[in-house]
Amino acid sequence: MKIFFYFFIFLFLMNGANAREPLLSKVLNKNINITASFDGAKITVYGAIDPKLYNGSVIIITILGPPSKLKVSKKKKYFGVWLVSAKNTKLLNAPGYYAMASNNNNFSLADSAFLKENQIGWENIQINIANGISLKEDKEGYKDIIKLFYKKRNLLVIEKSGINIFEDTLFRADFELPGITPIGEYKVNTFLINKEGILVSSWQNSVQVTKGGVGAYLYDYSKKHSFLYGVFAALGAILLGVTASEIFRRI
Amino acid sequence: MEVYLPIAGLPINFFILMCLGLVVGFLSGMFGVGGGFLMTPMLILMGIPPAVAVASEANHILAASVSGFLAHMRRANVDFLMGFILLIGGIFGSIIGVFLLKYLLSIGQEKLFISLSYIFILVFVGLWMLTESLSSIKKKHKGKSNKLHEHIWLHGLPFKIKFRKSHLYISILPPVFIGLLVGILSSIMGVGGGFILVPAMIYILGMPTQVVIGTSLLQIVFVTTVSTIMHSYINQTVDVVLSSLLLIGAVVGAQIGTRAMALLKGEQIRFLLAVIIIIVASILIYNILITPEEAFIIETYKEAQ
Repeated sequence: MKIFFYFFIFLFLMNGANAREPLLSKVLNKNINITASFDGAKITVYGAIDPKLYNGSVIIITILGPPSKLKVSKKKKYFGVWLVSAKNTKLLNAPGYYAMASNNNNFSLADSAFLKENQIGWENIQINIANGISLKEDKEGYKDIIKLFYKKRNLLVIEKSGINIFEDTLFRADFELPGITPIGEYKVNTFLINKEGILVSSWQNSVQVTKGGVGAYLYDYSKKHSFLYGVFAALGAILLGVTASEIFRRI
Repeated sequence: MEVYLPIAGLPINFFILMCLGLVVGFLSGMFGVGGGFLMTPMLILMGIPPAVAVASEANHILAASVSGFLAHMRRANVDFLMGFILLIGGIFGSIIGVFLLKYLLSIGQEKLFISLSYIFILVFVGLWMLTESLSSIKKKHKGKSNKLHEHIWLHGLPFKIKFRKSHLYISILPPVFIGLLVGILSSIMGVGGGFILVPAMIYILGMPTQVVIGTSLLQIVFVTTVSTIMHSYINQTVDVVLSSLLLIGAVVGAQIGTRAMALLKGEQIRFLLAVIIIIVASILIYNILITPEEAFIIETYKEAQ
């Protein structure tokens, strides 16, 4: 497996050398299918940089999951009892998953406007508030709340030295997606920044996470023919109950 | 072994679901309760979105109670007339419940209302059953013979009917009213309502425990059929993979439960059910009293706002 992988990179590098690109980046699986036995997946990003540029330069990879609409509600204590506050704040465009990796801890050399524009680092993520802020936390406060929530569920992965570099030119990074990862398009961005903190080159790839197999069929059916889905669910349950009862009667 | 639930959108351990189904199915067969009051909080604790947990649970209870109901029917433990009268109230009750829930949603207080009604009803029903069953166990030990059932003023209301199976000659108004109340509660709390129905039939109507369970299951079968279809139609939250997996354990459990019931006396069954209800209530109370691990709830929402 590994041999094939490096061979593949080698071919890819040969191609890249012809094109004389300072940076090339690809993802191993463009489609991730969530089937009945899905328990998380891995996005592998690999590529090559011009070895002349390696010394001192920084590679950054970010993965932004599909934009999600999130509702944030605070838990409050009423008369000694913890309940969910009726007030909530709705957020738009929050990435459903976020990952970032680099080959070097010190990427602060890139200027902050650039980091912000490209949403590099959780602090530079752009999230819009859909309704008025009903809780006291401001926009940045929400980022911290979501950060904690995502981290706990492995929906946020920050690995400052998560990119492995071989022979000053080939690189590879693996990102784990948890089982609850949302479906949709994941944007994979790779940036090459030189010693002076200037962007040399960047690549964008995408990974599609889709539901597959019986699960996808059920999901679609429940959305498109919701009434019939309910009728079949009820009939199926009754049939199963009758079958079980008949089986046990004979035992 | 993990299984991906397509509607809930997350993987969950296959064996945990099996065991949960088995335990709840056993209770269902033994006590005539659907087990929703136990299963729904458990599923939510496992990380399944509450709306999906409630709706899939309705579907699961349906299958489990069909299985349990047939087993009781073969033992002639069902009072069809009483079941029919309860159902009339139940249908109106669930319609009222749907509108009540819609109102609570519009003022944004549904979560508070649901949690508190869960706790209030479980504690109340649990303690009542516990004291009653203990005192009747004591009475038996003293050798005093029990009356067939206690007559209360409610039984003397107009429209009296003879319920042969339950050995009762009482007004139909109390059963209609009980059905109504249970219908309201089951559509708000997302449960079949057996854990309220069973004590109400025993203590308010004075039905024999053995008949109560089969009759309660008859009512649950109808209520959960309607709610499975309504939840799918309105919210698309019924996860059939989840409910089927729970079922495999549940149907087996229900059959064992029905057989186990035959070995126990009425007041012993009531005592055990009371203990289980109080345990669940204590867990729920504990959960709302301790400081939560996470101060916020984050969920995805659908409406384009």
